[in-house]
Amino acid sequence: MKKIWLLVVSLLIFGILPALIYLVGQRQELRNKAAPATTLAVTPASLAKKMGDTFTMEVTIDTGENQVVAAELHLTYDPTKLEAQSINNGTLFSNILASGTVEAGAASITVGASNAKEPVKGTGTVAVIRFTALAKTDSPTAVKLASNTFVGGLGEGAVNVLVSTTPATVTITQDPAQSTPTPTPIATISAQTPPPATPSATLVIVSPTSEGAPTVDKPVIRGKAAPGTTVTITIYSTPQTATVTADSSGNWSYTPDTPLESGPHNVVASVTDQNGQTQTATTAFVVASSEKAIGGATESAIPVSGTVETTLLLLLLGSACIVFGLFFPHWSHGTHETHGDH
Amino acid sequence: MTLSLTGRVTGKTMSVISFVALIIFLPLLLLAAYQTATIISRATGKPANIIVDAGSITNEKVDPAFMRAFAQGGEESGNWLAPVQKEVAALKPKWIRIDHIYDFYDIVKKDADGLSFDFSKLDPLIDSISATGATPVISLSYMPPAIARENKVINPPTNWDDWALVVQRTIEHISGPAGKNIPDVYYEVWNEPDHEQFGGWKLSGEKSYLTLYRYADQGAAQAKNTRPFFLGGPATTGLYKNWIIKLVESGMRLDFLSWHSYLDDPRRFTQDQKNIASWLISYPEAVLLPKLITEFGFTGAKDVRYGLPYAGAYTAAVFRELAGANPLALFAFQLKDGPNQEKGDGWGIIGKPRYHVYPFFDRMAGTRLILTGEGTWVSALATKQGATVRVLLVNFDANGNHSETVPLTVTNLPNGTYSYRQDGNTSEVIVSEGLLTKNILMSAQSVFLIELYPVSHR
Repeated sequence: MKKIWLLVVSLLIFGILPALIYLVGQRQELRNKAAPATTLAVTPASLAKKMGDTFTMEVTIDTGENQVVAAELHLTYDPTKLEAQSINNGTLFSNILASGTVEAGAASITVGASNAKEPVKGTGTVAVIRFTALAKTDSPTAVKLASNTFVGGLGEGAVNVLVSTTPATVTITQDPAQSTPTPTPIATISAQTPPPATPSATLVIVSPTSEGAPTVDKPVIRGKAAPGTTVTITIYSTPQTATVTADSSGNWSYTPDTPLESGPHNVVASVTDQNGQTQTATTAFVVASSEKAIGGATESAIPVSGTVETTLLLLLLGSACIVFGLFFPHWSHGTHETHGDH
Repeated sequence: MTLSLTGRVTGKTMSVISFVALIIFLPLLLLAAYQTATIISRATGKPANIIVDAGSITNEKVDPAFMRAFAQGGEESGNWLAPVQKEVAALKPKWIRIDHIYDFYDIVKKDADGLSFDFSKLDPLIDSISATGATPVISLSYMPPAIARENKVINPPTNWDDWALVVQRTIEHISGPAGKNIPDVYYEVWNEPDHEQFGGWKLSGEKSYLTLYRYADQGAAQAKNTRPFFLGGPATTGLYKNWIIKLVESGMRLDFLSWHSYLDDPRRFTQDQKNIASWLISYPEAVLLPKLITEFGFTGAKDVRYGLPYAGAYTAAVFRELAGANPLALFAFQLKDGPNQEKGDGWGIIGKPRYHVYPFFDRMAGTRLILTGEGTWVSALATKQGATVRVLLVNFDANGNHSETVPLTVTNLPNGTYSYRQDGNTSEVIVSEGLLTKNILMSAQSVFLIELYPVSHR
C-alpha cells in the first residue's frame, strides 16, 4: 500500500511540475506579447538617512502604451531598519480603491484612475510612502515591490500589464558626519568610541514608555539626542517645562521638580536643529495611584474591560466536575475482552 | 472512605456516561477558553497615542458625501417619510433608498388587456424623498403579485417579459418627463436576493438572479426618453465574490455594484474594500465601477444598541475606516423606526444618538493628514481644509464599555494663537514650539471632533 502511495505521489510531482513550468512560460509569453509594457519603480533609487529621520519615497509608473485603470501595490522592506508610517496615493491616481495599510515590513494600497473613460497613460507618482529610519544598516536595505503587485490595463483582460519593477535602497547611518555615502576618514574612525546601543543623533524618549508599568510620581524621563543639543521637555496634563542638555554620548534625563498627580501623563520632547526644523518625540505613561487617589478607571490610560460570563461558565464547569467526581468515583475502564490469538 | 451514591457501575456504562459528559461539557469548556482568551486580549489592548502631523499634506481627499445615504426597509408602507421629512432633511441626505415598491404600493395590475401601471401610491413617497434634497435609489423589488408565480412576491414571474415591462415602466415613470423626471436615479435589481426571506435566488437554475437581472436589463434598455439613470446589483446580504464576478462576467449592463454589510467590526469594511478591489483588478473594465453599500449596520437583527451611543460610535468608526477609499455611497439602515417599537430595539436613526454623529462627518472634508498612534479601541482621522486642522476621535468598543484618556499631539504647527474647539467648547491656545498636546478623556462609545484654527501667527 505504501509503495502505491509513493508511486502516486511521485507521478503527481513529476507530472505537475513540468506542466506548471510550461504554464508559467506561457503566461510570461503572453505578458511579453501584450502592449508595450508598464513598469514601476521605487524612487529615489538610493537614499542616505540618519537613524530617526522621517522621509518619503515614491512609487512611480511608466504606463508605456497601456491604458492603466488600477494598480494594486505591495511593498516590502526590512522592518528592523525601516518603519512605514503611511502610504497614500500619488498625484497620478486620485481614486483610492483600497486604503493604504502599513504593517511590519509591508505596505500596500490599491489606486485607480478617476473613471474608465479616463485611464492613466504616461509617467507619474502612484503612491507616496513615509518611512522612519529605525536602525543603522550594515549594507543598503531594499524597498521593493512584491511579486503580487498588479497593474490592470483597459483591453488587456486579466493580464498583469506590469512587466518589471525597480527597487530602491536606503542606507541608514548613526553619525551625522557619516550621513553621505562618501568614505569616512580613517582618523575619525580610529578616534570613535564604540557606538552606543541607542542612537545619539536622533531624538528619542527611552523611558518611561506607554507599555510600561505605572510609575512613581517623579519618574526619571530618559532619552537620547545629538550630543550637546538642548532638549525641551514638557510634561502634561498640568504642563511642566524644562530644558536639559544631552551629554557627549547623547544621553539626557529629567526628573520633575514637582510630583505628578496620579493618572495618565504625556511627555513631549523637542529639539530645534540649525535649520530651524523641530524634531519631536512623545511618550505617555501613568503615575500609579496613591492611597488618597479616588480611583476612577475612567480616567486611566489602562484599558478596563471584563465580563462576568466567563466566571459563571467556569463555575458551572467546576461544579460539574465535582458532581461527576462524587457520583462516579470508581470510574472503571470495564473488563478487557480477549481478542483471541492472532 | 469514598462516597459513592450509585454503587459500582460497569465499564460500558461509564464509557457512555463519560462520552455524554464530554459532548455536553467540552463545548462549554471551549467557550470558556475562548472567552478567557478574549478577555485577556482585550485587557492587553493597545491604548492610543495620537500624533497628527499638520505639515503632512497628502494627495488623499476626504469627501464625506458617501455617508449621506440612508435606506428604509419594509416595516410600513405608504409615505412613511412625510412625518419625519424635516428631521431627514436636516441630515442633508444625498440618496434615500427604498424597496418593496411593487408589493407595498399596488403599482402593477393585470387584466385581460394586459398590464397596467399606477404609481399614484408611490409618488408621494418619491416626492418626499426629493423634498429632502435626496435622489431616490430604487430597489426593484419584489415581484408584483399580478405577475408573480402563485402570486407570491418572492417568486419569479409567470412570464419574464412581464418583469421586463415592469422595470421599463418604472424607469420611464421615475426618470422620464411623463413622470417624476428625476435624473441620476440608481435602480438596484432586487433586495437581498440570496436571502431565503426574499426568494433565496441563486446564480443558476430556475431561480437564477442572473435571469432576473437580464430581464431587468432588457426593461431598462427598452425605457424610452428618460433622464440618465443607473442599473446595478446584486444587492446581496453581504459581499460575495461569486455574485460580484458572475454579474461582472455576464456582459449585461452594470453601472454599479451593490451589497449589504452588517459587520460587527468596523475594520472589516476596509477588508471588504481591499477584497473587491483585488477581485476586480483582473477585470479592468469593471474595477472602477461605483460601489454602493445599500444597507449597513453592526447587525441585521433588531438590537437595542441601535438606540444607544454604541451605534453612533460604530457609525463614526466605519466612517473613519472608509474615508479616503470609500464606496460611492454607504446607506445607513434605517431612517426611522417602524411602528410598534416598544422594545426599543428598532433600527431607526431619527431621535437617537446615531443621528447626531452625522454632522461631524461633513466637517471632516478636506485633505487627509498623516496620523499615527491609533489604539485597539480608539481610531482617528485628521484632515486639513484651508488653515483648519480637524481631528475626529472615535472610541468604539464592540464588546464592552471601554473608556480611555487619549493623548493627542498635533505637530508642525506654525507658532501662534489658535482657536481650539472640542465638544462644543472653544478656547484659545498658544503654540510656541510647533506643537499642541491635549489629553482627551473619552468615555465609552464616544466621538470627538477637534478643530484647530489659527487666529494669529507669531
